[in-house]
Amino acid sequence: MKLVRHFAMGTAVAAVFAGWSGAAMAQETLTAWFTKGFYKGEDDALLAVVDKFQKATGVKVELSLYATEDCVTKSVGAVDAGTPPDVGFCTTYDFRTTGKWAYDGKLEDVSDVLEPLKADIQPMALSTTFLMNGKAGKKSYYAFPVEQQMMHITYWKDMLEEAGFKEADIPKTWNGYWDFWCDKVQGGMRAKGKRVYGIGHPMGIAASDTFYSFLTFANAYNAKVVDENGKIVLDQPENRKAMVEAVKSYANVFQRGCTPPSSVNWLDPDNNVAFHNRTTVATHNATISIAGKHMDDMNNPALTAEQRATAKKNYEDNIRTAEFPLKADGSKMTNLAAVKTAVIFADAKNKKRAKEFMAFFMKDENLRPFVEGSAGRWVPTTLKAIEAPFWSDGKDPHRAVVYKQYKDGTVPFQFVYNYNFTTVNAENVWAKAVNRVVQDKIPAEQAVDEMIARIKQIAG
Amino acid sequence: MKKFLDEGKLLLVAIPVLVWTLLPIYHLFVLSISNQESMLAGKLWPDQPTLQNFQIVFAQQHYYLHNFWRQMFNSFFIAVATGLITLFVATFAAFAIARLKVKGGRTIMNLALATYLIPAAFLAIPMYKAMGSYGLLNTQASLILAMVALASPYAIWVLKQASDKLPKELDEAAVMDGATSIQLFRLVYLPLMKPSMVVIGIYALLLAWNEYLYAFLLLSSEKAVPLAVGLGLFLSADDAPWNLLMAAGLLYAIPPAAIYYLFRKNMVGGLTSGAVKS
Repeated sequence: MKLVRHFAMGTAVAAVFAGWSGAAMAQETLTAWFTKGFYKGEDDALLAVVDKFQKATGVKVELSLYATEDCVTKSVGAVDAGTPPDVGFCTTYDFRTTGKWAYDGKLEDVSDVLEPLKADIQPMALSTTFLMNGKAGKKSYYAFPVEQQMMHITYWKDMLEEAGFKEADIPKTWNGYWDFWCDKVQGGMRAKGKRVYGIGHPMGIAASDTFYSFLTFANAYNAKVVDENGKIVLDQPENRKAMVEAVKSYANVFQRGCTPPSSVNWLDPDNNVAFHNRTTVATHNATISIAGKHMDDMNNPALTAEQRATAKKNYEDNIRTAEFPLKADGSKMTNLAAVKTAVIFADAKNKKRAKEFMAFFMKDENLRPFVEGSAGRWVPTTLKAIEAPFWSDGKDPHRAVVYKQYKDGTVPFQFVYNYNFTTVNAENVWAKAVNRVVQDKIPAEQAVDEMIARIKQIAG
Repeated sequence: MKKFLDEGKLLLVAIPVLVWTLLPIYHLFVLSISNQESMLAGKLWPDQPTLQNFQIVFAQQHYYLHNFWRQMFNSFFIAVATGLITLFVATFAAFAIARLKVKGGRTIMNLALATYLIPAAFLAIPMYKAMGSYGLLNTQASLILAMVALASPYAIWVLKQASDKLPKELDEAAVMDGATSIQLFRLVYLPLMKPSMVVIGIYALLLAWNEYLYAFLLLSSEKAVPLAVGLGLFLSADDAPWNLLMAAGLLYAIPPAAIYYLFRKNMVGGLTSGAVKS
């Protein structure tokens, strides 16, 4: 009797385990991990692509959507464990892992999929996916450029007017621009007894906003950090000098008291928060998410009519998105763009179908609704999509500026040429140098020398 | 006077600890009753407190909350299953080691305790790999099994200590009356172990309820994840609707608080029962 009982229990347990694992074996599957969109439209567009692909191929796509940080953390874990999904698209892969994975041979070469699409993709965006594979000893296409982000200035127009200025008063020169927000606008608000700061200036070492903002300043001073072969050139005298000026310029905003003192500890959401609660008149941010929040609110049926009306007024009238001013030498600013990359993993179980899926996903009719679903947070990488009315008709005040910035030209981050710069950014040597100047009161020259030494240790 | 001074010293310690403990809860509550405009104003109390956020959460009206109730159910299911399976494993193990004195029981106890030298986070990737090998990834079973694996060593240890306190004479008397091992377990051991089992059940349940790392590693589908992972979606962007997140977080915090309140008497008795060896 005991034996029978044990046998029955064993069979039951085995059946349950078999059931758990067996269901997945019935149909050919493709596993895809994506970052969950901020808007429903983004995910709906993705689900529509998945649905169309499933109907066309009969392959079941097991799609999982994750929060931004979870997505990359989970992907790293899965790659380390040797059980990655077939397709991965997390919006921080480019900052953290794409270059390293390509170098370590963890990614599938996708040249055969990208080659036929090359003519349709913005050359700069495409170049960010041409990566070095240390194992193979050659460069090739190891990722898909899906969408990108750029830096923008955002300011409250009504607060600017309250300080006694018009938009036409905003200077175009580099120093004049920051002086304007710092002295005139902040001064105007303070004269009215309002404890408001001219600029929300990310300074926190733990914030990616800080290195994105700082590298835009470095770009404004033409401080070149690496060449296209990944060799560090920051120690060359002209680049070192330019970087010193960039550090001085970035630190200057804080030293003059034009950003909240707490900005030295800000994390990524904090400049948004300070802007929304009108502690700052202007800020710089990597996407138009600040304005986007108000667009989201104005279309949110769960809010009251009054709340929606306020949000609409803010989005359409009170909040402005603007380009950065001219570079310090008076030339036109080129925008630092971070291209968000999708990958197929070398250890993927279904690489053939993964390539088919990505070729399908990258088609304009599939990719464009996905990118546009983000309501302007992400910018297209394809030449056709950026010319779509969504961007080019000028009806949306914020997207019109993004379009103009795109047209002015974009440049990639250093990690595209040398993947070790993902570590440099993670360590935020840029913010550390600025904080050495403002907190430890050392000269900018010394801070830059320390910065160069550390960069050489990490990426040299 | 001395008594007054002693109490004063205690208050000096107690008040900061109390404020430190309650401040995050207060912050959670204030944000949950703040509207869009006032949530970022940094005020100690919103000008116009509102229950609108709870209404949005209850009706799943925000995009990130479309699976709120389902994920809440997932949290319940995973937590209760973890609690029950851990109890099942730990009670049998403790009974076998403490009462039946099985060979190697002491070694098993030491091994169980040794697992506590390795932080759970270090085991996440090996666990992920193991679940992948068994074809269990993206099933709630994987998370339940992982949680049971993490909860069991401590559960066995506490129950074994509590078992040691039961008089041996009870077992001997039952055996004299012809009781089998299973009868001994069911009719003598289980009724006496009830307070400790309540504690261990709640411990395992709360461990699973609060788990985040393993949940998001082992589960992928939005419909399968517990609420802790579901709420993580709010952090996808730097403009998170914090007021909704806090309202949902407050609701998520209620069940464990209620469970603790319901079983508080057993908690105290059960915790101390395994504390010292008699």
